[in-house]
Amino acid sequence: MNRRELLEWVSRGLAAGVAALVGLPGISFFLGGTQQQSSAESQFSRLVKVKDLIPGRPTMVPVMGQKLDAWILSDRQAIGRVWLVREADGSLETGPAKQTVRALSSICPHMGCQVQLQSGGKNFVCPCHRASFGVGGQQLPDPKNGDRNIAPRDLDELECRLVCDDETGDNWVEIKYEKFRTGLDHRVAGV
Amino acid sequence: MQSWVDWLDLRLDYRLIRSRISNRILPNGPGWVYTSASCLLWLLVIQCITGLLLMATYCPSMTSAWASVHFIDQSSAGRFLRGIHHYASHAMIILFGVHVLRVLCTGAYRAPRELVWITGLLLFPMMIVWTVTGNPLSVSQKGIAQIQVEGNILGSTPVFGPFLRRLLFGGEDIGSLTLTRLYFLHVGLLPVLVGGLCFIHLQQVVKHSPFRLPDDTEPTSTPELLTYWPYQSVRNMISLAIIIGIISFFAWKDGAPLYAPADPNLAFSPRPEWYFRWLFELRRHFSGNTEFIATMVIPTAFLLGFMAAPFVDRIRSHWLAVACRLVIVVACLGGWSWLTMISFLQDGQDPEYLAETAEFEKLSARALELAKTEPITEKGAIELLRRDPQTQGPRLFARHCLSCHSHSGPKTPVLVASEPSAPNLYGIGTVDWITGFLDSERIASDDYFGRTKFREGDMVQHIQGLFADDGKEDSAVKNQKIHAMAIALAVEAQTEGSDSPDAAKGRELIKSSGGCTDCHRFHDQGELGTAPDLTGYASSSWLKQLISKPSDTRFYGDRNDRMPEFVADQGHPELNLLSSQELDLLIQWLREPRTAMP
Ligand code: FES
Repeated sequence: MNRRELLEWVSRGLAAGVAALVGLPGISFFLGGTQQQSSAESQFSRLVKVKDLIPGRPTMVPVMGQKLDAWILSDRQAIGRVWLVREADGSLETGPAKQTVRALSSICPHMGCQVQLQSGGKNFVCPCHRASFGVGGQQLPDPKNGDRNIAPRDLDELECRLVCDDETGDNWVEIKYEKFRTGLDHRVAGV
Repeated sequence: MQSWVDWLDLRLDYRLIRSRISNRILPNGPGWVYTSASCLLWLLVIQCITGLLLMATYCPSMTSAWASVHFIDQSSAGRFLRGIHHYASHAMIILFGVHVLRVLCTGAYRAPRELVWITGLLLFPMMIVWTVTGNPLSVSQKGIAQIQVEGNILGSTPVFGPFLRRLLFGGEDIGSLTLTRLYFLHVGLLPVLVGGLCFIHLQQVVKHSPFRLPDDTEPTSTPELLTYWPYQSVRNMISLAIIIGIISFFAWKDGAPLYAPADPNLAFSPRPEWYFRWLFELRRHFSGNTEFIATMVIPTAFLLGFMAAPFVDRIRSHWLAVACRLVIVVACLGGWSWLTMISFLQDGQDPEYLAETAEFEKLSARALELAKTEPITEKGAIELLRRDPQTQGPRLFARHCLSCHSHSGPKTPVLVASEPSAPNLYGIGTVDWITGFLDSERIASDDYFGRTKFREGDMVQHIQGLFADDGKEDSAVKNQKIHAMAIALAVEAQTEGSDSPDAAKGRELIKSSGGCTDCHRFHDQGELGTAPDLTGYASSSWLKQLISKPSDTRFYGDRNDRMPEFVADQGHPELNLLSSQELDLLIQWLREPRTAMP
C-alpha cells in the first residue's frame, strides 16, 4: 500500500465512522421508539354483573384499564371492547356460577374494525367490509360475495369466567383481554 | 444593474443553465400534450408553499389537531389555503395518471431516457403515500379510520408487515406517536425523497433534450424548431391557470372537508379515497392470508412491469410496438375504471352503507355547528360530540335502554325496540306523555304498561276504574281532570313552566279524589314503598335516581320489573353500567329530544 492509498482509506474510514456515529443511533431511535402498554391485558378484569346482561342479546362492554401511550399515561381508558353474549336460557342471578357467558373480541379479524351488532341483534357485522358473524362469533356466508366471508377466521373468543362476589352475592363476568393479529386464518397473539 | 447581474453570472453561471432549460426543443415542436409535466411541477410547488403556510398553525397532536384545523378554517384565507392544498392533491394524482399515460403512449421512455421514466414511476407511489399520510392529519373520524385500515393492510404483509405497522403507528395501535409519525412522513421524509427524485428526473429531462440557441430568424414555419420558452411555456401556463382556476373555485366555495373528530367509540365504514377504490374492490376477491397479493403484490408487479418498459421495448416506431403500447394503456385505464366503478356502484346499492354515510355527514355537520358555539377544551375536540346530549342521547339509549324501551315519536330518530317490554319513553314528563298514561285506553297499551308485569296491576285497574267510560260521568269532565293532573305532574317534571290554575286543580285531584296518594307519595301526602314517588316526578333528579336504582324504596322497591340498576355502586364508578356523565346526557336528551336533532 502506498502513501496515496493509505490516505484514501483513512479518509474513507473516518467518513464512515462519522456517518455511523450519527446514523446508528438514528436508526435505532427511529425503529425503537415505540411504546404502548395497557394494564388490563393478560389479567382478568371485571366487567358487568351477569344479571345486567339480557339473555340472548349481545352487549358491547368496554374493557377499562390504564394505558400508557408513548408519553401520556391515561387512567381508566377503554383499552378494548368485547361483546358479551349470555346464553339464552341461563338464569344466573346469584349462586354458583355456571359458564353461560361468552366473550368475543370486538376487533374484526379481517382488518381490525369494530364489529357491530346488526339491527335486529341476530348477528354481528363489520362496518368496514361487511364481514358477518353469528352471535357465537362464527363466520357467516356473504351472499353478496359469492357466499365467501371476507374475514379470514371467526371472531376471537376471549377467556371469560364468572365470579361470585362474596359480599353481595352477585355474579360478575370477568375476562382476560387480548388482541390478536388481523388478516390471518389462525390466531396469533399481539398485533 | 447590468454589472451586478454579470458579477452574479460569472460566479453562478446561471445564464448558461437558464438558456439550457429554456432553449430546449421538443419532438414535433411545442404542444398541449406536453403541458401535464409542467402543471405537475407547479402544483407540487404550490403544495409545498400552501403546506408550509398551514404548518405555521397546524398542531400535530391527537387532542389538538382537529381544533387547530378548525381554527385554520376560521379565517377565510386559511380556509382557502387549506382548500387549495386539499383539491390540488387530488388534481396532482389525476395529472400524474395523464402524464404517465402520455409518456407511455408516445414511448418517450426509451434510451437514453430510462432514468426519467424510472424516477417518474417511483414518484407515483411516493405521491400516493404523501396524500395518504396527509388525510388523517386533521384527526377526523374518517381520516383515522382510513389510516387504521391502511396500517392493518401494511401489517398483513408477510414477514415485515407487523414491523412496518408498528413503525407507522409508533406502537401497537393508533396513538400519540401515530400522528407524529404521519406528520414526520408528510412534511419531513416524503418532501425530501420526492425532492431528490424530482431533481434527478428534471436533470435527466434537460440533459437528454436537444436545444437550439435562438437567432434572429425565428423559424415560425417549422414548429419543430421552436424553443421551449416561450412557445411551450405559454401553453403550460394556460393549462396551469385553468387547473388552478378550478381548484380555487372549489376551495373558495366549499373549503376542504373537515369531518367529525375521531372517536374510538364510533363505528365507521371507512372507504379509501377514489384513487384507491380499485384496490379496495380488487381486495374483496382475495381473503385472509392471500390478501397481500391484492394489496401489495399486484401493485408492485405493475410498477416493476412499467419500469421494465424501456428495456423491453427497443423497437423504434414499429407498428407492433405502437399497438402494444396502446393496448396496455387502454387495458390499464379500462381495468382501473371498471374496478373503481364497481366499487362505487356496490356502495350506492348498499342501503346500510348509505345510511351510515348519511349519518356520518350529519355528525360532521353537528360537530362543526357545536364548534361554533362551544369552546374546545384541553381535552380536545372529541369532547364536542361526547358532551352533546343530542348526539349521545340516542346512542346511549340504543345501547342501554332499547332492549326494552322504545323511543319513537315525531321529529326524533325513531328508536324502536325489537321486542318492547316497557313504556315508550318519547316525551316522558311532558303533558302529552302523562295524558296518555292517564288515559284508561292507553295505559295498558304497548306504549305504557302493556308489556310490563304491571299490565294488570293496581295502577292500570285504578286508572281504568277512574277514567274508563262508564256512562256516569261526562267524558269532557274526565278529560279536564286528566288534563289538570297531567299539567300538575308536568310541573313536577319541570317540562311545564308556569304554575297555572290548572296545575293547582290537578294537585288537588292527585291528593284527593284522584286517589293517587293512596299508593304514591306526593309532597307531604302518602307513603313511600308502595309506588313511585310523584314528588318531582320525571324531573332530572327524579329520573337520575330512578335509572340509578329502580328498586329503591322511592321507586319500585322489590316490585321492580326487569329494569337493571344502572348506577349500582357509587363507590366503584368503573363497575357501573352508566357513568354519571352518561346518565346526565341521557336524561337531558330524554327530556329534550325534540330540539333540533342533528
Ligand atoms: S375490517 Fe372487518 S370486514 Fe374488513
